[in-house]
This record gives sequence, C-alpha cells and structure tokens, in this order.
Amino acid sequence: MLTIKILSIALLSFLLTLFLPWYTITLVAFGIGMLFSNRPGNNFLAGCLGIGIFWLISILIADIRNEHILSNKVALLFSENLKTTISGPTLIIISTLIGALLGGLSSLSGGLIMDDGSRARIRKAIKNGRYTLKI
Amino acid sequence: MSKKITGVLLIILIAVLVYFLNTPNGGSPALGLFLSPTHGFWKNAVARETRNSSEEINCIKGSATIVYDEFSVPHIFAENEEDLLYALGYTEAKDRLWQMEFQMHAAAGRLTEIVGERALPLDRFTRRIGIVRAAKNSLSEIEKNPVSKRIVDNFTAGVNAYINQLSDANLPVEYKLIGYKPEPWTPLKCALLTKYMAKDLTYYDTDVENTNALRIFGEANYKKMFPDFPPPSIDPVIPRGTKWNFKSVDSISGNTKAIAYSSLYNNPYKFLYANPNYGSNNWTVNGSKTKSGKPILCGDPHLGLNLPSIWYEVQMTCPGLNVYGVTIPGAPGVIIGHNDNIAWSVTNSERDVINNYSVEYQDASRKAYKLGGQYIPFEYDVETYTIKGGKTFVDSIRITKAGAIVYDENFGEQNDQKHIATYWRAEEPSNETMAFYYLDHAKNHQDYLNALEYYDCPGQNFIYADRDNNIAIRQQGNFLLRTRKGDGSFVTPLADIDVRKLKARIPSQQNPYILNPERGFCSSANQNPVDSSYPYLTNGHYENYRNRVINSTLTNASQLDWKEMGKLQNNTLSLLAKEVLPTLLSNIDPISDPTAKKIVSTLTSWNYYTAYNTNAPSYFYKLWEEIEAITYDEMDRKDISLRIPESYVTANLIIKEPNLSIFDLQKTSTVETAREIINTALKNTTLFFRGYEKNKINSTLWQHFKNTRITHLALLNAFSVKDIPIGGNYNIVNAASDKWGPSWRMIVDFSGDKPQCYGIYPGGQNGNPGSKGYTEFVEKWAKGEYCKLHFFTDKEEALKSIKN
Repeated sequence: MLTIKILSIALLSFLLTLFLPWYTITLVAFGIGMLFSNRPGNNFLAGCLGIGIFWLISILIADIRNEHILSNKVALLFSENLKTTISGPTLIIISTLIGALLGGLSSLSGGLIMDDGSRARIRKAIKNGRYTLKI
Repeated sequence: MSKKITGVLLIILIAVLVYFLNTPNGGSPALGLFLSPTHGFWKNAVARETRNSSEEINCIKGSATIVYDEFSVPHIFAENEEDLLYALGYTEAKDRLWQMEFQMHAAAGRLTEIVGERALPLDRFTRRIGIVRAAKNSLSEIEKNPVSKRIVDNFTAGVNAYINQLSDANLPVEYKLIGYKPEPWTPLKCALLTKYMAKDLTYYDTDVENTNALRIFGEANYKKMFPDFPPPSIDPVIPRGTKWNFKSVDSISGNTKAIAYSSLYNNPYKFLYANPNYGSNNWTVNGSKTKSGKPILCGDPHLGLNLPSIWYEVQMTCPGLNVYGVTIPGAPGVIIGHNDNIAWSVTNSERDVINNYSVEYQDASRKAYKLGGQYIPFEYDVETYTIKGGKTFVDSIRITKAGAIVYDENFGEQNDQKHIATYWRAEEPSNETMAFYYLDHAKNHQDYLNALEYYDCPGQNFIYADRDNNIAIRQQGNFLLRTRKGDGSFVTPLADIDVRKLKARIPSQQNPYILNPERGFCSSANQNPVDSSYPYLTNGHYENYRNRVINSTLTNASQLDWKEMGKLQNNTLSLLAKEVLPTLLSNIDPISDPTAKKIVSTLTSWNYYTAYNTNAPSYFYKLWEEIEAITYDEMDRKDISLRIPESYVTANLIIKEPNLSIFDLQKTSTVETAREIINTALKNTTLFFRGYEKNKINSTLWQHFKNTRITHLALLNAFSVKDIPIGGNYNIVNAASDKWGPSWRMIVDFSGDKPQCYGIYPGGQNGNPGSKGYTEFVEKWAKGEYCKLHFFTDKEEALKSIKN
C-alpha cells in the first residue's frame, strides 16, 4: 500500500508538473492522501517519500549530467547572501527537503480531511465505475 | 471530527507555505519555485549543449538550418535574407536572451522595473543624457529605409518566436533569480543597442573639467597638462605627412573668448560616464610584410569585461551573403568579421562628440533660455519610471535646441547659474544598421567605403583588408565641424551660439582615410587620428603608448604570419614603464628599508614586460598611482570636477620639466619638485606593500594585485570569474586591465583559398551560467591562445564537420 502511494504520488507529480506549476505536487499528494489513507503516519511518509524521491531523482539527474556546475554556483550565491557556507550537496538536500515536507504535509492533510466511511464509499464507487463528483 | 479540523488547519498551513515559497522576498528569489527541479534553477543545469548539433527552424518564407560547431558557434543557412535575419534573432535569443533584454533595460533607463528603487539615479542619468531620445531618432531613420526596416523587423520576429515558445520552467536562470519574465523584443531595442554602445564609447567629456582647470591653473600650465598633441611627438592613425586631397569647408571658430565668462562647474555623476580607458587595437599588413604575400588583418576591441560576453560569434549565409564574425546580442548583423573577400575591425575614435553650453534663464521661473540673442521657451522630455513594487516616478527634463540640461535643480545641481545644456552627437538621426549590412555584403574596397557612408556614431577607426592585397583605414563618424583655432573643449555660453553652425558636420568624405600606405600597414590604437595638417579640430581623449609599440613592431617586421600577429596582440610591454622608470629610479634617495630596497632592486632589473607571475608590475603601477595622486593633489576637490592629465603627459613632465609648479605640494610651505614626489611615492608604496604582506591579503604577484575579473552583468559574484592569470594593463597592447580588456581578439589571414580566421574572447557562446560553454574561452584567452574558426562554404560542409 505504502509503495503504491509513494509511486503514484511521484509519477502523477512528474506528469502534471510537466505543464502545471511546481506547487501542483501539493495537490497530487493531497489527492492521493484522500484516496488511499489509512494511518496519518503512513500518509505523511507516503507524501514525504513520493515527492522527496521524485525531486531527489530529478535533481540528481540534472546535477550529475551538469557536472555540478550550476549547483556549485547557486550554492556560492546563497552562501554570499546568507553570509554562511552552503555547498552544492547541501543545496540538493535543502531542495529535496522542501519538496518532501510539502508532500508529506499535503498527503497527511488529505488523509485527515476524509473520514473512513466516505472514503470507502468513494473507492467502491470508483471501482464500480459509478462515481460522480458531488459538490 | 477533530481529525477534520486538524486536516483543515494543515491545508491552511500548506497554503501559507506555498504562498511564501512561491513569492520572492526582498532580494531573494521565491525559494520553492527556485529550488524545485521542475521549474527552478535545476532546469537550467543543462546537460545538453548546442555544441556539434544542428537544428532546423521554420522562419517567415521558409526554413533555416542552424549548425553549431565544436565551439557552439551557430552557422545559419537560409534561402533568403528575411529567413536569415529571423533565424539570427532566434539564435541570439536562444543563447543570450537574458543578456539581450537586461542590456536594453539598462539602455532604456528601465532597471528600476527589475531591481527597484536603488537603480533610479542610474536610470534617470541614462534617460537625461538622452539614450532613449537618440534611439527614437535612430529608429525613425531605420524605418524610413525599406532594407533596414526589413532587417530589424525580421530579426525582432525571430527573437519573439523564441520568447513565445519559452515556458516558465525554461526561462534563463537570471529571470528566476531576480523574479521577472521576458517581454517582447521590439525594433526600438535594436536602435537602443547602437546608442548603448555610443554611450559606452563616446559619453566621456571633459568640457567641465577643462574649463575649471583653465581657470584654476592658468593658460600656460593648462597647455602643459592638456596639450592638443602628445609630447614629444605623435604617430597618428593616418601617417604624418599624408596629403589631404580635398578642399576644406568653412568651420565655425572662436569659442575662446567665451572662456572668460565661465565659472567653476561640478559634474556629480561623472562616475556614470563612459570609461575613457576603453580603447582598442587594430592593424592590417599587406603582402609586402607577410610570408604568404597576402594580407593579414587583426583587431581587438577593448571593453568592459562582462559575462555573458558582449560578443557572440556567428556565421550568416544565404544566397549573396556569407559572413563570419561577432555580433552583439540584440544586433541584427555581424559587426566585426570577414566574408569571402574582405575583413574589417574597429577601434574607438575617441573624438569629442559632446559640447557643453552654459544656460542663461530668462527669469526665476526657468521657463525660457537665451539663444542667439532672444529668449526661447524650453521643450520638455517627461520621463516616467516604473519601480518594481508598483510605484512610479516622473522626471521632467528641459530641452534646448543645443541639447538637454542633464544636471538641474532636481538632479545634482542646485545653482542655476551653473546649468549646462549638453549637446551629444549621438542624438542626431543615423542608421548604422545599413552600414553593417553593407559591410557584411562588401566585395571590395569601394563597397567598404560606401558602407561607411551610413555610419555616424560612435565614431570608429574602420580597418580594412581584402584578398586583392588592398589595405585601408578610415576614421568614420559624424564629427563636429570646428577649426583648429576654435575649441570644442570648454563650456561656452549658449546665448551667443548659432545653432545651425553648432550642428554642422565634417563632410564624411573628408574624414581621415588612407588606402594602401607606402609603409605596408595600417593601424590604430585610439591615438590622435591625424597630425596638425588636418584642417579641422580633432580634440578627444587619446592614448599614446599602444600605437607606438604596434607601429614600431610592424615597421621592423617582415615575413609575418598569423602566429606573429597573435604574439603582438598579446604583447605585455609597458612602454610607460620603459620610458619613465629609468628617470624615477635615478631620482631615488639612498634607502635603508628592506621592503623599499626589494622594490627598487626588483624594478631595476625589470624588463618592462607585465607578466602575470612577476612582482615588478605590481610595484611599478602602485608607485605610478602614488606619483599621480601626490602630483595632482590640486585636483582632489569635492566641490568642482577636475581631471588628472594623461600618463604620457605626466611622464613627459617628470622627465623634461621636473621643476614645474604642478609638482609643488599644496599643503607644504617648501617648494617640491618631481624628485620629492618620486621619493614620497616610494615611501607610500613601501608602506602599502609592507602592510599587504604582513596581513597576507594576497601575494604581490601581478595577477593577484591587478585582479583581472569578468563580472556578471547583474554583478552576481557567483556567476563571475576572478583573479585571471593574464598579464598586461591599460596603455599596453594586451590591455587586460582589472575590469576591462581585449574583448574579442581576431586575426584574419588571406593566405589560403578562403580567409582563415583565428579568434578568442573572454567568455563563451552560451549565456547560461549553468552551461559548460559559459566561460569556455576564458582560459585560452588568458593564455593568449586562439580558436581556429570554421568558415563554411555551404550547409553540406557544415553538417559534415559536426559528424566527424
């Protein structure tokens, strides 16, 4: 269950942010949290890892192929502005953590907002192909 | 139920977080946006470079093929000129969009829109001196001519095609960092670029400083400090003794009497003027001087060193045109380069194209001014500035028939007795686009001369060579018509001026020019264009060292090849040191201090070459800086503007007239001569280097002392390169100074079937700081090496080359 949630959050986020804003990740994690919730801890972890893994992999692919040129420069830029020392790898961690935190919180809130009864009904309806969104 | 409430609270928290992470805060970018791998800077960490690739783009009438070679230089092949220009715009934007737009925001006085209120004084200065007014005049001239209109329109369409397909995620990283988006390119921006360069190269004027100096130091001293021709002799662009084969027209003369009226002036924004040290070298030798018997042409314009680089290499090919060279991102054509038949390069003319006139208001309301004996109401240029964050600022500038009042009660000068109207030649309508269009197409010497007829500002020395062994140089520009008897160097009262005469120009065909000189070479390095036999006034800001090193080398040379030319471009001999240092050393009193001894012994054994890994240049230039500062203690005033004389003048005075009153220090009761100055300067230099070494700030090696650096246009340290190991300095052929230097070294050799070009510039083709190409050429440039550039005959040859 956790693996499915993580994968669907990561995959959906990747697809949607190809043409939607970066913060669409919160909506994805929220939605998956609503649909597949069981325990809050499990939910938070799913959002955290889903977005975290998605972002980390994307960043690592970009950074390695770029031979760390830009991450080192941006790290230096931040270091000078914040009057501290931030390295390229630190920047990767910070970026990933921002995504992971947002993902985790969104997924968690998605689960919390949905009570178990209505979730079960929705899932059943989806399964039977009779689901219509009521507003 | 409590779960739902927690959930809702969490949603609110997330919304707030997203809001903050998506909003720029003060100077820092929107963090979440900026750090996200899908839309942030990670997207700019590109792996794919354009190097050795090709692309086909749809243009206006058909398509164009762009082949990027091993140096990421685009070679554009199109079926017609419309598509070629479109593809050029597209390509420039692809590699340099942020730079193109940022530079034109600077040129238009619109930096406040990007960086906020702190840019307001700079923006106001930019608009007050008239860059935008000049660009609008130029645009109407461009649009009157169907060819130049077509050029800028197609180019603009190409730039905008690139901008329109650009998603937010793929914006250049600077947009993400500063937090804004590109706007559409316009033909006005093409015109602005010319005037931006005109500002960079000609908005340096010393009328105010000259007027003050004449009043303070008297005529005899003034002439010694600011001579019309450098002592002891000159080696002008057009060789001495060249006959002028034209009948000169009547010039206006006699502003000298006006000097008596003048008061003392300040120039509060002088620090925003052009850097007078921006110069350039170019030379060409004909077959009599080369191994191959064919000409070689060289050029290296010196400009501020910035990243992305001011230059961008490109080859443009369509039926009837095949040209290779450098353009400036935003310019619709090659500016310096070669085609199958000819090669050309430019150096700044350094001519004075600014005149200043003191204004006499009719009354305290300051609504009218006196001109030609009567009062005329002002016109106004009302400028609105949009400041980032939403505020606006409105500035009103008084315009006279002889230019704008740059400094007034709202901008730097409270005293209305000292208001000056500034006439800047760049404001006259001109169409330089056509000049470069015809140069790019030129097949022979006559085509070159015809092309230059369109060229007005900034005045340049256009050097020329062709495959038929012709060489030539012409100083081209729209220059003010003044006689040698009169003088355009001082503030003069506007009340007596005849405006018609004030704007008269020297006929273009009478500009300094020579074809195939006997000595077998042409050259220029910002020195005086002519000797005193030329019938018109040619005052300006001239250099007097680089030209003599170049000319003596070329005079003595034979059997030259491109490598020898490369050595000359990278020559680091300090002629200033060679000429003045023996005199300085012979004046030094006995010393005991170990640091002073080390300095003197290092200088005594120095060969005058400013290699980056030696100490002598650091000692010499520090000593020279001290000598100038101590000698011209009279100039150190806050209330009025003054300038110190050129180095060659000071050097000559130290050698020839060491007892001149200028060497006497103001604060002492004793009488000093050059000898005392030299010894005091050595003491200061010793103290300086003792502190320098004690604090271990850096080594005293020339590389670190000089610190040649290439600064990102938005002054971002992380995107800049510092402490480059390169010799040279100002007044040296290899003019690599602290913040400016040779911005594009080019050598075109006509020995083969088609011209072979060698070139290098301190930057890289790709403007993305995350790209490997961003600083690709810097190391080679510092070492004095060149890229052997590709000049393809056709598309097939180009495509074949990238497959190997």
